Amino acid sequence: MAQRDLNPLPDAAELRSFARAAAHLLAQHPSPAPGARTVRRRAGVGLQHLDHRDYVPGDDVRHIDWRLTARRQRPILRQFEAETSSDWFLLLDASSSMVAGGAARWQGAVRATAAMAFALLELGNRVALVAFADEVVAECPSGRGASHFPTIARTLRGLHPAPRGARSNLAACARRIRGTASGFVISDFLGPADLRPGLAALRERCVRLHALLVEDPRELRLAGDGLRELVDVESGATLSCEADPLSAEHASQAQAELRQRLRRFATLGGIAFDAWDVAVPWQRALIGHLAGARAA
Amino acid sequence: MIGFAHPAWLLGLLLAPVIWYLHRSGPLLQRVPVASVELWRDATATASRPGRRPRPDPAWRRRAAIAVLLSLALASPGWRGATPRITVWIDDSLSMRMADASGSRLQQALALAQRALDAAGAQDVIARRLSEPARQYRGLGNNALSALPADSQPSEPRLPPPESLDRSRLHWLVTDGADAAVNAWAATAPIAQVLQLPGATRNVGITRISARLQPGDASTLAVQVRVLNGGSERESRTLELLAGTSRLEARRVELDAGRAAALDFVLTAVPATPLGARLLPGDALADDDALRIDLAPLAPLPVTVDAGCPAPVARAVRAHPALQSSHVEAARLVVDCGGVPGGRGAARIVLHQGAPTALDASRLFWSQAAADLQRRLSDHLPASARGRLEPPRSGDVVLLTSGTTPLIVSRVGSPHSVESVLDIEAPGFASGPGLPLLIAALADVALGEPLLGRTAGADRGDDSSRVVPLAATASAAHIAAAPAVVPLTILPLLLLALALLAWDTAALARQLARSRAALRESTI
Repeated sequence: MAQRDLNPLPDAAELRSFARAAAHLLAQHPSPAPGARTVRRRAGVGLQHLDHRDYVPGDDVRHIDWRLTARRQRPILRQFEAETSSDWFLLLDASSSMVAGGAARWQGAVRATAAMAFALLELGNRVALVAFADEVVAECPSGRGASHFPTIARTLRGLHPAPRGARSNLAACARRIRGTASGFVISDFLGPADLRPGLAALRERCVRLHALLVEDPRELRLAGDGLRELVDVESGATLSCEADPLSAEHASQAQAELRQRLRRFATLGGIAFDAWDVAVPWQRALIGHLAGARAA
Repeated sequence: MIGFAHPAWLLGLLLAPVIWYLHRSGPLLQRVPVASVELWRDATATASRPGRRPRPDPAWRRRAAIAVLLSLALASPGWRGATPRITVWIDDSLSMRMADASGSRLQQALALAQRALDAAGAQDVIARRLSEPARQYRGLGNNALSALPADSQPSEPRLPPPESLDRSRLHWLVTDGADAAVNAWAATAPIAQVLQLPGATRNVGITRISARLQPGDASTLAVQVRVLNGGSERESRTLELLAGTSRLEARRVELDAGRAAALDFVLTAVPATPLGARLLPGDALADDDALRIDLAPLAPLPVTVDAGCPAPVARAVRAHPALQSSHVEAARLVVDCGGVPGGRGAARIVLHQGAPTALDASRLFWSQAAADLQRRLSDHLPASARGRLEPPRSGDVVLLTSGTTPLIVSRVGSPHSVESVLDIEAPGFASGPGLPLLIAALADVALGEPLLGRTAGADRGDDSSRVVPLAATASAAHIAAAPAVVPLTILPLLLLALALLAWDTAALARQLARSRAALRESTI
């Protein structure tokens, strides 16, 4: 029996489609939120050639690289240092809770991370990937350009969260962020204090921080009926609970409270926060998040 | 009223509360891995309220029922005090003939068993003798054992296989405990009660007597008598050897308890009447104080010699101490030199005649079956042969050959016969010891037994004279108090326990399958 691919990535068409859609949301940063610091690598200086990317409607046609366009059979744009490119750190939660109750949340998180990496690289950003659990479990160093995406994709495919015992420690990622960078956290934020200490530490180091809470409401409905012993895959703690609609309602309410706590914390900390039900397509969730962040 | 044959097993009923105690914490719950139990923290408040003990796992009732049913089955329930159905096994071996002022042991045993049956209120009683277990004696009420003959002839026990005993009845054994085989049988058979007789424990008996003629003198008889002290004390007796009623010899013998002695006698004249031995003075077990044997098997064997045989053959027959010439009709052995027609039931020695042919001594071969013949004849064979034997048929045994030519053949069939082509008229052979030795050896082969080694004897076995109980079993004083439980069949209990066990196993398997399925669904 063929082994199921636990980390399926979006195909190239999906990635390009998403990158085109997200380009105008990521190309220029909106005004930073209150309290955020904006640091450009070489702000307003020169037109140092940096990289190439696909042409997006609205780009200046003067920057099209016609020779490369003729070779690749599609419009390619030159990018310059003067553009609003910056360093991005994609922080993916690879703790045990991400794979509990089914693989939907984990697979959705992997797809979203890959899509964000592709879109950011297309815009000429330097992108690094950090996967964390108790500590950093995998890392793809910062890189730039389309040639860096396969490295990130390979790292994503190689991630296999431990089914049990791997807790979430977002603060472990903070020291990996050097210089001026933006951060994008994708997690279920299930852990001590909703991982808020980790978010606070990251916010201190990032010029801009995005947080995407990945949810799967289906997990909250326990299968069958009767009394069950729930086992926390990260801490090993147990809890007896009836598998009935009332318990599912209680769990949904607790999930909503977690979401509200995080949203309140994000608003106060200048963090672009959204919750994503994995039943919603990842393209719509990311575009909605980026649009919301841009509007804010 | 219900009773139990093995009430100790009822302690197993205590397992029921133990099983309840082990299940008190509730059923084994299906484990469901979740991302964080904190999400269900409020839901658990509705599942278990503080101060309220969870209900025990309902499976405890099923498992406790299995333990209770097995305990009851092992305790062998039955009806107590009603009308027990009893089979009384009577040990009627020779030692039970031992008598004192109260009568023989067998009579005392029947009286003891009757008292025990009366005390138990038994109505359905069957008595069986160990010497004849297939035959039953049925009695009723207070005289249940009256049908059993107390004066029946004693014989050695023929013990039935323990598994053949009827399990729906109680089995009692009445014995004096002196027979090791009976004691061993009682240990393996489902005997509910052993009634052991008290009584005298002193006895000396004659266990074996045997006699044989002296090989060199047919008129001399060697007699051996084995005497055993089967009691518990040192004893002294006088052994008398009797011919009919007249005493031939007497000898004093002293024996320690349990020891035996073999006394040898030589009688210069063979008595015409049966030979007997007697111990004086007699003791409580009179039946083993005397033993008698018939000497007829030692009488000379009637033989007839073919008139056509050479004279040395007739002389050789007459020289044999165990052979006696007779006419053809009465003969049990015929020496045939070609002139005697087939006898009726008489063994035959056929000596072939014909032209002599020289034998090469270096080519004589004895078969493995003729080792005794070779030892007796190898130095006394003639140097020539006469005539030719027919080829051996299937079943015939060739005893001696010259090269491939058979010289002596034992023919299969009834009556038995042995044929020889050895030259009985060879110079020096007929006049020497060779011919009498050949006739004696061929007679032994034809008759199938060594004529000079015949014995007459009688053997009772040592157990017949042992009267001391080998192992104390149950005391007669406890008879009245002994429970009489008629066993019920425990098959329904076992079947019910088996059904519950299958149910519980299926429930566990279903629970395990569900748990695994849930685990598969909830993890990658």
